[in-house]
Amino acid sequence: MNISQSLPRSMKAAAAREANPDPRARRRPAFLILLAVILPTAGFLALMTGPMDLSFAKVAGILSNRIGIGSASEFSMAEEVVVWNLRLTRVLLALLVGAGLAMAGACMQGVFRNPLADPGIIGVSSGGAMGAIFMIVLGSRLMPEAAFEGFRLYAVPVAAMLGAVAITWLIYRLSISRGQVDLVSMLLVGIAINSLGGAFIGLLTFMATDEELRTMTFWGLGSLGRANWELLLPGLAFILVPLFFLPRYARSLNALLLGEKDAAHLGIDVRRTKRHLIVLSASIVGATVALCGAIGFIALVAPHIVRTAIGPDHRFLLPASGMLGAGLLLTADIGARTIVAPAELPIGILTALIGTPVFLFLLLQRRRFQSIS
Amino acid sequence: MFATDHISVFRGGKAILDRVSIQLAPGELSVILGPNGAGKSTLLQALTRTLTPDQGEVFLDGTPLRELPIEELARRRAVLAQESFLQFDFSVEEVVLLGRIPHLSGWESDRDRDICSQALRSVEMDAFRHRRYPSLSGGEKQRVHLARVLAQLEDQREAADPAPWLLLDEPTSALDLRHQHSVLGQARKLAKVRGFGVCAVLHDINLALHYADHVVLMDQGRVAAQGTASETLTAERISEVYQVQAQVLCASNCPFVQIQSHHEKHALNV
Repeated sequence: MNISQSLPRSMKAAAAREANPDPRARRRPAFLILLAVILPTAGFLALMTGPMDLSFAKVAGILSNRIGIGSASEFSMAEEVVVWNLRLTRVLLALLVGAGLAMAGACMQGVFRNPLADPGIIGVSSGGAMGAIFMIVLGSRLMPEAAFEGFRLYAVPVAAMLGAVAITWLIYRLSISRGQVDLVSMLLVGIAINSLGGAFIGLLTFMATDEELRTMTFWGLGSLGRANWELLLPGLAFILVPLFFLPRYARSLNALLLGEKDAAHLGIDVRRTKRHLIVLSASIVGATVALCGAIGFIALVAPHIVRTAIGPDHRFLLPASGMLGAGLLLTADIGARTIVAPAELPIGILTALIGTPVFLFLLLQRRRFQSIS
Repeated sequence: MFATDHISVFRGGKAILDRVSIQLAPGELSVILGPNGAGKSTLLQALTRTLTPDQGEVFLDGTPLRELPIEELARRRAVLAQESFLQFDFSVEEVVLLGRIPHLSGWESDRDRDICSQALRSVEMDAFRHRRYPSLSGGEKQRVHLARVLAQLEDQREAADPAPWLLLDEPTSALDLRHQHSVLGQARKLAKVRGFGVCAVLHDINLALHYADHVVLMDQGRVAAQGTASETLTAERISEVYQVQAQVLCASNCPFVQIQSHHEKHALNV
């Protein structure tokens, strides 16, 4: 007689649990595959949705025509412009910025050893905005208008990246005590830097022309509305390239969660790793700010959802957060374009509506945890 | 062989370590003892390379410690810190697997998982394998980290390779009586049976008398005495270094220290 048949059902279930008993580890492959399937689907939906609704066949036809494999369906010139020049660039920018913010957020949370380290809340985004604004004000005063236009496409993101890196380093130095990042200091430094950033944006408002004023909500709440093929180039250079390097640090980030001393005992060159990670993650955030303003909470929410679903191991957390962040920002942007169509909502309003409750939940959970220990 | 050669550490013009020279041999459990502020932790930090001495040199098997690549060092010695700051929601098994980082280039193999299971069994935490680390008590967490450093020390070694070292900073501080003895018993077994070097900072003189092969008694940044436990921990020396009235007694062939407090002394004198 087969032994497994003689076992009571409850024991068989227990044996199955024992074979792979960590539900988060079991969930990992399915979770990653699910994200990889949802992401292109959502991208395609975004191409179809908008003031001008387009069928699946038309969008597919336009894309395949552009790629050069011919087209089976008929579409107008206007439809092609809408899909190829307006919507596709916007979808790609959303994917790039969403993935960049989420992975940079997961990385910062690892370096700060705190899941509340959101680049918007602790002031990294403000640092990026200050760098960008500084370059815009300086550049437009020092150079002839025409020369500045070509230059600003790259100079502004670079200035934003420098601003973000400098501010992140400052936050880190100010909030660390005895090798540990102090949560309260980190949040207070964030408040201070965000006020300074607000003052900077106020200064720009004060100096701005009428036309510039209309784009001012851009810095505070973010928008993907500037998307075009030209803007995607610096996006690829300054966001996608550093993103490729982040997963190499997954193991070091896991070790860093133990604390800096324990990570060093495990053979991690802590100072070098920390420097690399801060430069990589902060420059990604700075570049996103220069391209589409400070879009909050994606960097907090995406890694949080992933950790809850499949655990804090950065080898899974980084890629999964990247995909989830891209998907979240894409979805939020579909909302921003359609809810008050033909007008457009600043996307930061939508991300804040999802992000603030998550942040408060994490903060309360933290407080409960600390009162026990 | 772990050795320090006249190492000194200065902080704010004061010598925290003053020309300390010690020699620790593998195959023995060495214990660093001393009152608060004697420099025990600083000495251990010099051994773990958490700090570099201002003067003098630390040697591991004849090589200056600061010249060893940090990755190689991680394969030759593991450190159990006094407290851990891990707050993320790893499972217990994942925490122990972090100990394999120095030995891996890719993903963990079945052998790494076996090593971790073995390490968890030896600290009696195998039933907790799939529990979430933050849900454990302080003592349980401490034992998980002990399993992690034990897993870190496992390696395929040739007989001629130098022995690996386990450095423990007050490993018993968060543990109850039974687990204090089980941890030190295990540390001693690691030294005696497998020939590893083990060095622990301890507070409890009686635990040291019970388990230590070699004792380094520190006082005000200097080595007050070093040698076997019974040679080093005499009643006079303990009385002098700790400024108490101590007696070394013997119960069923096992020495222990009894302390008379100042309070009692006064009461007796009256």
